[in-house]
Amino acid sequence: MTPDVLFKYVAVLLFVIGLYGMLSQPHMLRKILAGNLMSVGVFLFMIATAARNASITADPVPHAMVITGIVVSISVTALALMLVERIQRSSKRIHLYWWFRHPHDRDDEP
Amino acid sequence: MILNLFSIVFGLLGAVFFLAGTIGMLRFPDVFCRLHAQTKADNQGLGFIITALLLQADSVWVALKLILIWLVMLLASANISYLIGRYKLRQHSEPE
Amino acid sequence: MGPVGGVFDGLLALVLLVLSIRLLFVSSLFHAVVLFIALGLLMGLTWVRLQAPDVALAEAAIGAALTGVLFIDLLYKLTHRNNIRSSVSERLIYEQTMPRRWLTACLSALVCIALLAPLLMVAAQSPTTGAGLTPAVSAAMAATGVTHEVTAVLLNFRSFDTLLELTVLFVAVLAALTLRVMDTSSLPTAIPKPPDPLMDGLWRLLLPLLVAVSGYLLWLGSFTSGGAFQSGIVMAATIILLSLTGQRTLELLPPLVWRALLVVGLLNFIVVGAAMLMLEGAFLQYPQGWAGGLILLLEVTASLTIATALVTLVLGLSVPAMFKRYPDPR
Repeated sequence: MTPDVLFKYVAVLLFVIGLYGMLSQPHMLRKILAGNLMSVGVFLFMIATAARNASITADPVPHAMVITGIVVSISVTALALMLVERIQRSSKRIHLYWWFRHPHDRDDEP
Repeated sequence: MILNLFSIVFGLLGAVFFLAGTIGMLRFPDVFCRLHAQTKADNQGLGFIITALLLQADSVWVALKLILIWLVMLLASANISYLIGRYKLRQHSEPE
Repeated sequence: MGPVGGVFDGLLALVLLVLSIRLLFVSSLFHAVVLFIALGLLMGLTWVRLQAPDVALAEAAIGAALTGVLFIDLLYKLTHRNNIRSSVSERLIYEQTMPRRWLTACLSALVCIALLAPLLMVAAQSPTTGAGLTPAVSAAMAATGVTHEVTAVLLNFRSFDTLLELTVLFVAVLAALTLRVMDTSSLPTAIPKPPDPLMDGLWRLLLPLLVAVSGYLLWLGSFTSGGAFQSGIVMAATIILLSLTGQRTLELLPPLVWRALLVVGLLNFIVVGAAMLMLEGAFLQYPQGWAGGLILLLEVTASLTIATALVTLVLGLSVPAMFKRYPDPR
């Protein structure tokens, strides 16, 4: 199995693992980590596809797209983390379960 | 030919140091012992691997860059070890 | 590469998968973040294995440095709030929500397994031969003004992508600043005490070197792996490291200069694009012979903006002094 085929499957698995974490984990920080895993999976798939022909240099177009994607992904992560901080500050919550009220949760504070 | 042989020997030596450092990281009981193990891997192991690569370098510039990488790594490793050690020491001496 | 390369790739793939599963299910959030940083470093190695050194350079600076700072900083803040119990104690949430959480986990697993099959089929059926766009790019290289393919794609063939990416970065910074304006109360931050002699000495050696590396990467971009992105990211990482060791960085800039740096890359792209629209009849269509110089101009400003924007995003919550000009509207 050539590296590009191997890492294509790894990319799919990373994406699905990330999706599972995104759906099932209650803590928002873990959701963001899981979302980053999903984006890593997508990047890996693109780069693996670009490297499929070992006899010529790898396709530079997906490379450029992934570099752009990495910068976008860090901006999104930074913004998401700021929102988490904000939500925690105003509602004292760190999860997104609307039906769940922790004994220490307080919604009355500004 | 002889150069390649030396490269292989130094590369393997470096790998052994990295292996020892990693085992130490995983098995040693506290932060200070782990730092000790880690610095062995960083300084000595990387030193051997850089030596192995130096023997394969095409030009003087590549060789200089490799040496620079090793020096920066030494600098960073020493400082980070100091910071981690100091943090842990303070935690010990003044418990909250 | 032969069998050794194959074994290495297999091990790398295995470690990537184990790390990703561990970081979702390890009980401590701090461990999860550290595992994520390790994953980022190994991704850098994977990019090299897949012949993508440009991506590896970007990933090494972002995955290892910036993401780690972001997550650890937030984690520190969440744990040092007065209301510790409700903020980070995942276990309490787990225990209290057990029956419904089981349901969520089962449903999520079902969705993921249902999705896994078609995705694996896509991976199996995706092309394994063919040259992709490599020949097309190589054929058009002569007119691009640079000799490195990835830079040519980023700033010539698909420069519109880079323009949009700078826009995304700008919007993220705007949103972050809005969030910050909304609360000016002081936060506990991970910024340590005043600098100590050892760190000062380290900086005296390291700072010139890091600035040189950043400039070197920008220069490399026109003919080999490197370029505006990597250069901007290394610069951002340097400034963030400086701030984290207690030095004053962005606060030293007059607010106007800081804001100008935030927009100069985007503005330059729009101005150049519009000028080309008038001269050449197409947006960002460089005239013959001018491509190299225009790309260099765009790269320098884009790199400055990427560096400033990333520093603002990462330190946005940690450096209150940067925002002192904005009064609390309440």
